[in-house]
Amino acid sequence: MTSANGNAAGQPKDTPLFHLQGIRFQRQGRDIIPPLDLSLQRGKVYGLIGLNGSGKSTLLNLLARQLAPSSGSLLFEGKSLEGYGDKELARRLAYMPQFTPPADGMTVTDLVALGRFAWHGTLGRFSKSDDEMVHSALAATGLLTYASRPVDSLSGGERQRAWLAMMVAQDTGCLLLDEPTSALDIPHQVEMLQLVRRLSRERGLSAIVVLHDINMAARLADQLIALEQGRVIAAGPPEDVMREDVLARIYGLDMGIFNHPDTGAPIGFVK
Amino acid sequence: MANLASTSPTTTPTVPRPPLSGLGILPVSLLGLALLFATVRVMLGSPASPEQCDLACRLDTVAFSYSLLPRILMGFLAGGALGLSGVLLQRVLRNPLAEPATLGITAGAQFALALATLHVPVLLVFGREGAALLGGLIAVSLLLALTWRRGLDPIAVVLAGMMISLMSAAATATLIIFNGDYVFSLFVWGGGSLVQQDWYPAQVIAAVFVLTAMASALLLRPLAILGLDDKSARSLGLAVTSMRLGVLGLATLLASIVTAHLGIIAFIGLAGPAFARLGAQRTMGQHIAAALVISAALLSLTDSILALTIGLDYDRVPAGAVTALLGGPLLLWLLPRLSMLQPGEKPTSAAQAAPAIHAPGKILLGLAIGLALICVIGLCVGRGPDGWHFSLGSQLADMLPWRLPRLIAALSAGALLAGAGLILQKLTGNALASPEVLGIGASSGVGLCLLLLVAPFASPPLKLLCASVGAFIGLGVILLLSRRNGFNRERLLLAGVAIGAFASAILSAVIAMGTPVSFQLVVWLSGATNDITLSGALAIAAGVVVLVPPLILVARWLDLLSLGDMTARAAGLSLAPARGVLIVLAALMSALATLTVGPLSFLGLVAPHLARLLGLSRGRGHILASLALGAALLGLSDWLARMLAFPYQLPLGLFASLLSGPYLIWLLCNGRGNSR
Repeated sequence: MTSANGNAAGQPKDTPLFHLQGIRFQRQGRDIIPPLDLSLQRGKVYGLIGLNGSGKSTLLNLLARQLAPSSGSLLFEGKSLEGYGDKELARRLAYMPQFTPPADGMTVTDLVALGRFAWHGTLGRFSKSDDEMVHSALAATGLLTYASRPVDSLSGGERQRAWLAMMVAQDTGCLLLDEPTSALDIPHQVEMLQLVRRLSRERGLSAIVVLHDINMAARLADQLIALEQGRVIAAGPPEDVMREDVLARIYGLDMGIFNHPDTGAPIGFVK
Repeated sequence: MANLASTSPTTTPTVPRPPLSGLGILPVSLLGLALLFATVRVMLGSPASPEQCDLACRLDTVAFSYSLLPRILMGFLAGGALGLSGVLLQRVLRNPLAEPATLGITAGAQFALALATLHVPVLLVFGREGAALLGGLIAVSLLLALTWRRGLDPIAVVLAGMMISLMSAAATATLIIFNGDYVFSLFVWGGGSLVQQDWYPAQVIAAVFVLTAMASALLLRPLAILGLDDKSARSLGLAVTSMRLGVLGLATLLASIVTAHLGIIAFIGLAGPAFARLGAQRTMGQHIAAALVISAALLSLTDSILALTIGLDYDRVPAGAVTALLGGPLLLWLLPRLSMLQPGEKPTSAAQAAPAIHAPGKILLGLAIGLALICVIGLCVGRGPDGWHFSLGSQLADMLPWRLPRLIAALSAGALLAGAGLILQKLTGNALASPEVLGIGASSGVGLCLLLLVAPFASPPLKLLCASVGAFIGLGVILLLSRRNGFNRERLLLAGVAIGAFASAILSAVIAMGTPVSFQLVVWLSGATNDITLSGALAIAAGVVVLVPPLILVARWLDLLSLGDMTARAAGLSLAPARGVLIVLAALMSALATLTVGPLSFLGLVAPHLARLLGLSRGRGHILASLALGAALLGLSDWLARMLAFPYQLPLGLFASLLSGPYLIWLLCNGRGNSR
């Protein structure tokens, strides 16, 4: 369960969503990600956890092709990630950066409609099906009533949902989210993660989510992957990772576990 | 300047301590070198022994003791004074890019001197120094007034300084145009020539320099505390505001006095402190001393090398021009190494959230009507010796050859500037980006200027080509630099300001040579459109017809890019080609517009903002509204520039900047404050 190569899903299925072999990322001669092997399956929600600087954001950026690996091979749906065209990739893979920029003067609908770029392109008409996709994305994220509000006038949680709606409108099979809850208070964190989980269930989406909070991650994810200095130090379903010895390794702290009084799910705490 | 070249590679970005550690090897060796060169000059210049002296050798003796010796001394004195001024400004503003030239102090002093000489001689009651000091103080006060509410934020300070110095330079250029060749020598002087005729200026500068240096030595401790943030300084018991104002006053005094006697010598005040920082960790006193010594040595070295290599003709090339050429690259090299600027600040967002808009069509229609109205006014309403006229029919036909070209040129240039500004703002995600702020106008001026140097009577298409190449290179360098810094928005602005300062320095250097090209450049700098022909105007209009449709077609790129590279890439936009197309468009648009109205109007900044305030902030609506507003504003400016000072015509570029300047000021004072 904590195998070093992070064969997180157990048995291999047909083609994995992502297949990383010897992926390495260096900055200024320093390994941010040392050679890493990893395989991620379709249709699952993965939670990437670890301390600050453990390389989880970098790994997500590599998967999203926002960064290019220094060496190694990275297959996405069985094909080299490098080989995808920009629009081709954007039809399969949606990514939300950790810090979403101000959406200068755009309404929620404007922002979500930008998600359709990969489908209609620079000059193509914004078709009826594009329109329907936007509508369904707004509906799925509960934003229909906010559709004509300026994005910058929304609260943090609503804004984050608007960005998620844009990813949904992109109509991809895979969502990559970099700390989508970092700026939210606890109720909105829960709401956001439930939304991601529901979308994944309803639409059969795969999702890879970088998260700070181990308990939130355990609630959300089918599989947890813990990184330390770019290495996978623990991986598996939440119940395997949520153990005192494993948490102690991840966080370098004396951690304890108790079970949620209602659900029985394991909850980590600092001793 | 082999020393500059050889010191820069020895430092790597990650290692703050260069091999030259220890206490001040760099300053000492530079000073030694400068002294060596100076000695050589003294020996070469010293006249024959006085026994067998005829008239010619007596003249030599006079030239030696009243020109060469004071000049050599002046190199050290002025350099030291500028270095001290720069290091004080940097300390007190906590801004590693501050120096008299980047803050507009020298340009302000220069404008005050020109104004005093030409129109207000009473200002010269206290000598050139008094007038220059007044100008410098006004520039600093303006700078403080603009940025005080932003807590003297480094970026805001540098931007405001850039604006002040651009506007002062254009105003000086205007004075010169109105007064003809008579004052042209002002510009020659403005290039920072060290030529001396007696000991008086050296004595004045020496006196001020010594007094200020002593004052700074006494103020070492408070200066060190000012290096912390204001709250800590205050809690340590320092009267922050009065201390800051006092030191600013000292620095302004130094810079103004030097400017009064030598003209603008840019970047020396920047180079000294920057190189001094390369040395080992010094105490602040040592840092100030090192900065001072390095600056003095650098200016003296520059002058000596000019004197020894070019020979007798070297007065043609003022030292200030050379330091400016060296300073631009220095500034660019410095940018990635600035740790004092906090890059973690929130990105610059729009001045304020745009109102939600339901009827973009109506607003666009309104803008079109306004534009048509301005055309009618521009063509039909005029002023004669006997009052206002509304001309129609045959009277209008008589006027058209005069008014039509100017109107067409103004409208087209306005639209092009707005388009370029819009592209830059969206491309960089920075609400303050524009051709003027990023120095692209000035870069295209450099292209133009180099062409004119080779071929003074080049054809308009060739001028456009060279201006475009200049703009393109300038923009390319800025984007490359800021890309290396991960497209940090603040750094992008700084890189732009650096490019602009560099380009302006080249321009003033060429202008200072006093050739016929200079006058052409001065006219261009002030943005005068008096002598535009109909065919010239139509050519610019053709530029609009060619460049605007592609911009409208790629409206979606602009929306995506305004959300940042990551989002744009994730949405499937191919960044490199999209950016390439947009950069070419922006460069062509700025070059064409700048060729017509000069580098100064600030319309490229203002028009997209106004469109956003009207509620059109994305897609084609924003593009069309910006273009219409740009055209309307410049059309209106043109008419006003012709009417206000009738029968004189004000230069369009300068006048337009006076219209848009207040908006920029408001943006600096309030707008960005809200985004925090």
